[in-house]
Amino acid sequence: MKRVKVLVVGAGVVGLSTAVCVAETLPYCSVTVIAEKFSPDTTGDGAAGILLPKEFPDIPLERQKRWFKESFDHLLAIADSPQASDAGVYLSSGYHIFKDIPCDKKPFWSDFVLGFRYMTDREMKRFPNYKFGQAFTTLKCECLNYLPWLEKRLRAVGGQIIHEKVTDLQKLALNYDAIMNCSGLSSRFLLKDEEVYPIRGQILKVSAPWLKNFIRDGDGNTYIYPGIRYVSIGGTRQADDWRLEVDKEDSKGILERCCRLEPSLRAAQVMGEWVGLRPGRANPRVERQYLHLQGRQVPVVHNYGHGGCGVTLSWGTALDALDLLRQSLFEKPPQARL
Amino acid sequence: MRVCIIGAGVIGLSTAQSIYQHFHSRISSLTIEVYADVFTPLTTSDGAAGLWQPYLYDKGNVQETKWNKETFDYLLSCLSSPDSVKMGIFLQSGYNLCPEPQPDPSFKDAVLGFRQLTKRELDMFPGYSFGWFNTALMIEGKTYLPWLMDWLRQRNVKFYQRKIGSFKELADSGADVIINCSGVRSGDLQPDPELQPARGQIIKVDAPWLKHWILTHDSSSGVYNSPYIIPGSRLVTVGGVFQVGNWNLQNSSVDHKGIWEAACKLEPSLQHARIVEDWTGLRPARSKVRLERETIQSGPTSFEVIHNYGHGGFGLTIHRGCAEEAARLFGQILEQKGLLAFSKSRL
Repeated sequence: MKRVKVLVVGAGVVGLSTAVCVAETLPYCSVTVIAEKFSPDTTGDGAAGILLPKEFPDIPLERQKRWFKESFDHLLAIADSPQASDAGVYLSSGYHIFKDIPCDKKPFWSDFVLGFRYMTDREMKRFPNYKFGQAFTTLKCECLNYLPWLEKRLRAVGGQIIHEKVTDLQKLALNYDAIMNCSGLSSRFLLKDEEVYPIRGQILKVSAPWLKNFIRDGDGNTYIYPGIRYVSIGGTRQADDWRLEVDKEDSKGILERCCRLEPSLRAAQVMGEWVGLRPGRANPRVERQYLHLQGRQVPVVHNYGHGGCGVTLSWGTALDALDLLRQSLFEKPPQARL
Repeated sequence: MRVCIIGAGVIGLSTAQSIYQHFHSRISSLTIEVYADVFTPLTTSDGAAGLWQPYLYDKGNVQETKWNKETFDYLLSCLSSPDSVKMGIFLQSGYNLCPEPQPDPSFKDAVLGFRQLTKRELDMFPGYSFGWFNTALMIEGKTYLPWLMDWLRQRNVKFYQRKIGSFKELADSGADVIINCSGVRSGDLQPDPELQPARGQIIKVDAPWLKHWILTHDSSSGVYNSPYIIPGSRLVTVGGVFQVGNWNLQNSSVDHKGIWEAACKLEPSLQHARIVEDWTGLRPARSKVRLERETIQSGPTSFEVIHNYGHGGFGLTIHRGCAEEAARLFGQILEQKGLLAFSKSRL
């Protein structure tokens, strides 16, 4: 049987996850990943990688639950295996605190993380300006380890890698049977999807190896995530801000807010700063389209626009994208429009 | 008033601190001296992982449960101080695992967020069907002891590196009160058949992705004879053994193998961790902590000794509560000697 040539655009956490899903599940597919940026230069590489979803407005809740549950279960199995340190995946417990009591005290994902409960009064005493908190154990998945580890997995099943910036999907579609578009923020240019926009995030990397639990302010703007090599403290959420340079005022603000939550950070040494642009979108786009060229219908499965939930939803959306690909390879494509 | 403390582990140093805190302003000349043959980083306290956690059940020793809780509350209050990092204090959550259901442990109300483990959590640990999760404190001896010594030095406490042969030796040199914090070797100063070494060996590894402590409990093998993994601020401590009566301070390759195999089964990711070193220490095990006064006759005179030893594997866990109690006993001595400027019936 002739091999189905699948091209995955993008080598971030979503692209590589999608490529691995396809390559490992569909032996009749040959998978090639093409991208300009690879680890350690992808958006995910600077992200703390804490698995914590948010609720998107227009995607059925069951689908969002599936995305998160599958991502969580997949990574939990890795964390529980000898591969954990190679893959950079491990358990992380901590506190999610709110200055005002949220409407949704028990979010949809509370069943999928481990040991979800409300914080006790004694625990809340550490945070005098906060009225409510959730305590749970989730996973941390560090792309600096995870992406090279995924790449190894991909190559092990014959996957190929091309280092090249993609500017024209139509041109690429001539040489492939299917395309998986995991180009993140670049989809704005590649597909002219104006719904994709950057949400700028800045973090500080600090050396504070005594910190073991995460603390996140429910507003998403202040967080402390202890990692393997350093603690990531942040952050910012600046919509439509394309600046990749470090903003010193942002650094000041981050340090101030985080030290208030965790006073011992005053003794921490700042090792560096990093800026990333989250691929923001009202909802992630995980759906299939067809490109019509020269009498062929080439399925394009989109898997982009995960905002700050790329690592969190990477495996679940990759599985979804795999399904869409599988369907399109066995379906009759719609008639070409003239 | 000359106070001589024997022992510079966490018990000796914290007792010196409590005595200073309570009495330096209440008596005219308080001299505190610490005598020990080993100081940090060579004491038993230095090698301990530093997790605040008492044994699961106190067997009716309610005083000890009280002293443990006092220590936890004290350390928790130190967390918000600017010195917390210099003191080696930080929070860490983790798992206590049992092969079958057990009654709630003595420390359930002292720690933060104590709860039962869910089935999904237990699924991560094959062989264990029951357990608890909580957030506790870490107190690393290698950092805490130097901080205590600094604290004491700044307040003119003097340190002498010397092995004391007998209480009488110090009494003859002019000590008014002797505080015996000599840990596992207290028997050299005064025979105590209840005091025994409980040898422990640990492996220190580099595994910075581990962020939780994991303790297992197997009632058939006994406390600390079951694997435990305790991440510290730099390295992870893997143990353990609890060999009563074994005085051997050498690392044993047989113990190393046993500890390592059991720990890797418990936490598979350890297989790729870099092993840094082994360490052996002798826990000062006793049926219960000896924390009491003794008046010792020496010819026509007598001198006061306060014993504060026998803290087993929970010295760091209980140190502050015991230090405060020792200071209270010291206060009693001062009162009896009529040395207190104004009398307080109790601290």
